[in-house]
Amino acid sequence: MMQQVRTHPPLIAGLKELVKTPTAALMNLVALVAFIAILKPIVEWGLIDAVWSGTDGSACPQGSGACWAFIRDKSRLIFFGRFPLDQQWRAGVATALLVLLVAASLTPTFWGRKLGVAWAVGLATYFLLMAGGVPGLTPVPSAEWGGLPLTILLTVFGVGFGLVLSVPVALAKTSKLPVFKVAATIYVEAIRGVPLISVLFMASILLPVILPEGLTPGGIGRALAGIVVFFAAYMAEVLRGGLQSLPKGQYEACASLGLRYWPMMLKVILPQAFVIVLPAIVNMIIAALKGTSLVVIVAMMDFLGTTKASLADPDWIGFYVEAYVFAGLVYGIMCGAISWYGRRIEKRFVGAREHKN
Amino acid sequence: MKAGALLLGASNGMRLTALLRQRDVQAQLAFVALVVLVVWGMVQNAASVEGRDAVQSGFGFLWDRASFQLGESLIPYGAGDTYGRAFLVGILNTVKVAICGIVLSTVLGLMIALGQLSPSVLTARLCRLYIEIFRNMPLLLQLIFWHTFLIRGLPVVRQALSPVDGVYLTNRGLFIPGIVGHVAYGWMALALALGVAAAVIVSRIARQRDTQISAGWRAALVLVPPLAVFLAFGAPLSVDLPHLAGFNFKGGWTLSPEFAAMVIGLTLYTAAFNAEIIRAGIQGIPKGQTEAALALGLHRRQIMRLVIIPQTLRIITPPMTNSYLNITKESSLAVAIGYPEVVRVANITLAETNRSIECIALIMIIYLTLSLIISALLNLANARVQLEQR
Amino acid sequence: MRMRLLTTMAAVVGLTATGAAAADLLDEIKDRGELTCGTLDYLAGVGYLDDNGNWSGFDVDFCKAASAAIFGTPDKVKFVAVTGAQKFPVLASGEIDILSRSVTATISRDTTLGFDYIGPNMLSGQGLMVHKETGATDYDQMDGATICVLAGTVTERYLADYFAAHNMSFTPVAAENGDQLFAMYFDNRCDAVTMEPPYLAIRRNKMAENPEDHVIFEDVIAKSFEAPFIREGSPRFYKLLQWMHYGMVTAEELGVTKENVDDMVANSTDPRVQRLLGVDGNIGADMGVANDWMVNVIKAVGNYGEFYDNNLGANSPLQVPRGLNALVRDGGAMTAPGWQ
Repeated sequence: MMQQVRTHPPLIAGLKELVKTPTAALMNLVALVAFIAILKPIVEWGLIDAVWSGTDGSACPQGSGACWAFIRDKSRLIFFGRFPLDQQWRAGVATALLVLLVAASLTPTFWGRKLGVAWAVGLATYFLLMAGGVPGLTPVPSAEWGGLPLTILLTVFGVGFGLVLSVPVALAKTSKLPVFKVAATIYVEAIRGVPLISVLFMASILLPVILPEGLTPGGIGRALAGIVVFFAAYMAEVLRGGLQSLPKGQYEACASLGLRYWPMMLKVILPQAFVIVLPAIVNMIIAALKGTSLVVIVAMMDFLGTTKASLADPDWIGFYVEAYVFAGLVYGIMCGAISWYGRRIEKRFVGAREHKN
Repeated sequence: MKAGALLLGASNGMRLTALLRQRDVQAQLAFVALVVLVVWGMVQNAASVEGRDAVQSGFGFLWDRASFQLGESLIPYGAGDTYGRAFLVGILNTVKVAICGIVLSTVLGLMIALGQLSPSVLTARLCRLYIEIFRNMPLLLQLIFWHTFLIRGLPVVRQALSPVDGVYLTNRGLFIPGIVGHVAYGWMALALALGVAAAVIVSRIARQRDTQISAGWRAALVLVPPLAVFLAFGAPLSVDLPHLAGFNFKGGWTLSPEFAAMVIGLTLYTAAFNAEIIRAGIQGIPKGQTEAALALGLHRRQIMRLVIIPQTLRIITPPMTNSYLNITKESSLAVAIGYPEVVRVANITLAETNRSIECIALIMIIYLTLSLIISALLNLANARVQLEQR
Repeated sequence: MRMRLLTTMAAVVGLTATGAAAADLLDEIKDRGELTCGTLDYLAGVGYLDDNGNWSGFDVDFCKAASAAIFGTPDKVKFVAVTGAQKFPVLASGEIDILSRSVTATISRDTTLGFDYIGPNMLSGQGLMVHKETGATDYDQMDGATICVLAGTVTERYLADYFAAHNMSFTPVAAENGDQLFAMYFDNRCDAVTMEPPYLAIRRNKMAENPEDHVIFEDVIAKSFEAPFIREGSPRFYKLLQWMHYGMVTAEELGVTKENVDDMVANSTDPRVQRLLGVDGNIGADMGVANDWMVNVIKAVGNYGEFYDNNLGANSPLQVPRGLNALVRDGGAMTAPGWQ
C-alpha cells in the first residue's frame, strides 16, 4: 500500500512530466536514445526486413531479417509436436477448455459445487479429446502428446495436484503432532533445497527402480509426479503462511461452535486461507509454466522441446534466433496474461477483504 | 479478549485431549508404520531390480577411477582420477557459476531498481520493460538461446576478434592473459584472510572502547600482510598470453561459451527478480524518514548511508537470500548446455556405473548442503543488519 | 478402519516388491500379448518416427522382428523413447523388455550391471570427424584438440581412455543429444566430433554445407559393437532373440529373402533352408514359439542384409556401407553358428 497507483496524465501533463527537472529531462533524453537504439534494429530485423513466407531455408538469404517463414512452416510441429496432424484441433480445443476451467477456478465467486461439476465434465471431455478411443475419435497415445498442449497439461495438473498435496502438508506443518510436523518439515525443506531438475531426474530414472513393476507411471505421468512433488512443497509453504495469517478468532469461533478439526479446516479455515494465498498461487502457476520447460531434459516434447525439434529440419538450418524468440514470446505472453489476470483478481478479492478487516 | 470463551474452550479441550491424544497417537504411529513400510518396499524393489551388490555397496564407487574428461575445472582433473574428485570438480564449477551469477545479478538488479525509481519516466518504463521481458521467459530457454548465440554468433578460432593483443574472442570462448600460478599466491590468500580477521578484531575492540580506527589503518591491516608475503617471495609475477597453438588458443585464462552462457542467462533472468526485490525494499521506507533526516541537517549521502541503506538491507535480505538460493539451484540447468557442473558429472557417472539411486542422492545432498551454507551465511548477514539498526 | 487400510496398502507394496516373478520373460510376454521396446526417436535410419508417425529404423526393426518371432506379426510392440541416462534403469526395472537403442556391448554392462546382449547386431567402431581446415589426418595429430562428445555414452569414456593411453590431451564439449552435438561441431565449437563412423557419415551428408570439408578418419579408436539388451535371468527369451539374430544372418547366407521366403518354404529342397524355416524339425516349437517363426521374422524385416540395407545401407537414403557388417564370405565379420 506504499505505492500509489500511477495515474495516467493526459498528453500535455505527460509531456510536462518528461521535462520536470533538468536532470529528469536529460535522463529521459538518454533513455529515449537508448530505447531507439535498441528498438530500431529489433524492428528492422523482426518486421521491416523479415521474410514472412517460403517453403525452405532458401527463402531467407543471408542478410535478410527475421525468417518468420520458418515459424510459419513449422508452426504445427512447434505448437502440437507429434500429435497426429489431422487430429490437432482436438488438442487445441481440449487445451482451451482446460485453460477456461483454470481461469474460472481462480475466481473465488465461482467456488462451489457447480465448479466441481464443471471440472468433472471438463476433465472427462478433455481426456476424451486428447486420448480419443471412442467412435469418431481415433486414439492418440499419450507418448504423442506434445508442444503447447503438453506444457499446459503439465502446468495445470502439476499445480492442481500440487495444491491438493500441499493441503495436508501445510496442515501437518502447522500441526501440534510432532510426527506430522517433522515429516512435513523434512519434506518441504528438502524439496526447497534441491533444484527442480534433480526431482525430475528422480521421477524419470528412480521411479521405475523403486516402484514395483506395473505401478510405474509412463512418461508424462512421471514428469508430472516430479512437478507435483516439487511445487507442492512450495505451495505448502505459501498455504502455511495463509493459515497463520488468519486471525486466531476464526479458530476460537469454530471451537466455541463445537466444530471438530476437519469440518473446521474444510469449511472455515481453508477457504479463507485460499483466498489469501490466491496471488501466491498465481505466481506459482507462472513459475510452474516456466518450470515445465525443464522436462525437455528428461526427453519430453513440451513446447520448448518441439521448438528445439523444429531446428533439426535439414531444409531449415540455422534459424535458431527466430525459433527461440518466438518461443520466448509465446511464454512471455502466457506468463504476462496470467500475471495480469492475477492482479485483477487480487484487486477484486484480496484487496476487498483487507479493507474489511 | 473474550476470556470466558477461551476458558470454556480450554476446559472443553482438556476433556477432549484425553480422548484425542489416543487417536492422535494412533494416527501418528500408523503414519510412521506406513512410511517405514513404503520405504522398505521401495528398497526391496530397488534391490531386486538392480540385482547383486548394487544397493549394499553404497557410495564406495566414489573412490573408483573415472574414465571421462570434463571440459573445464578449477582443480587439476583428468581421466583416471576418482569419481569423487569429478564430483568435486562439478561442485566447484557450480559454485563458480553461482557466485558470478549472484554478484552480477545483484549489481544489475540494483541498477534496474534505481532506474525504475529515477525521476525520468522513460528510464523507469525502460527498466519495467526489461523486467517484464526477462522474468516471463523460462530460464532454460534463455540459457539455450545464449549458448547457441555465443557459438553461432562469434567468429571461429582462426578469425578471432582481438580488440587488443592477448585478448581473443571466439566461439570457443574468451581468451585473456592470465597470471601464471605460483605457491606465493596461496600464502598471500592466507595472509589476506589473517589481515581481514585482524582488522575485524581490532575495530571491534576499538568500538568496545568507544574509539574509532581510521579507514587507512584498517586498509593497511588488510593489505600489508599479503603484500609482504608477495615481496618475500621475490614478487613472482609473470603474465601468460594466450597464443594460437595447434587447434586452439593456449595459455592465459579461458572463459568458455558454456560458462559465459550460464552467467549471462542467470544474470539477466535473476536481475529482473532482484530489481523488484530491491525496488520494493527502497520504496518500503516511508518518505518521512528522509524528511526527518533532512530536518536533522544530514547530507544526501549521509541520509543514504545512515538512513536508507541500512533499513533497505533489512527489508531485502530475506527475499534476496531466496533469490541467491534460486541462482544456485538453477545453475543445475547447465546440464542442458554441457557445462560440467554437479548434475552433468552425476549424469556421466550414472551412465558409467548405473548407480542411479546413489547419483541422484548425491545431487540432492550436494544442493541441500550448498543451500544450507548459503542460508547460514545470509542469516549471519541478516542478523548483522538487524542489529545495526538498533 | 483407516489403520487396516494402511496396513493392507503397505503389505501390497511389500508383496509386489518381493514377489518379483521368477518365470521366464518369454512366457510373461506371451501372456501379456505385447512386447515393450525401449528405443530412440530422433535418429533417422536407427530409431525415429517417419513422416507418417510410424516407428522406423534399424533398432526399431529389431523389436518388430522379435514381435514377429513371438506373435507371428511385427506389430505387437509398444515403443518407448528412452534417453541415454534412462536406458539402463528403465530396462532394469522391467518397464521395457528389450532395449534396442544402439547400446554398445561391454563387459561391465554384460556382467556387473546384470544384462544380456543379443548379437552384437551392428559391428562398428568409434571414429572421429574433423574439420578439413585443421589439416589433421590421423589421431596422433589431435593432441590439444577440442572434441564434441555425446553426454553419457561410452564414446566419452573410450575417447578419454585413448588419449590417456597415448599421452595426449583434449578438451571435451558435451552435448545432450545428437542434434545438439552435430550442430556444435558444424558451428566449429569443436575441432572434431566422435561417434561411430556410419553415424558420422549420415550427419556429414545431411547437415554439412560442403561434405568434403570434413574428414572422417578411416581407423577407429575403439571397437563399438552395438547390441540390443535384455535383463539377465530369462534364458529362453535370451536364446530366442540370440538365435533370431543368427537366423537372420543365416538367411542371408542361404539367400532367403523377404521376397522369396514363401517360395522357399514351398519349394526349397536345401535341408539347411528347410531347418531354418521350420519345414523340417521342431526347433521353433521346442523354443516355445511357432515352428515357422523365422518365416515370420524374415517376412517382417527380411534377412540380415535386407534389415541393414533397408534402414541404413544401399536401399536407404543414408547409404552407409556394410563394412564389418557384411557377411564373412563378402569380406565382413558378420557370421552365425550352424543351424543344426
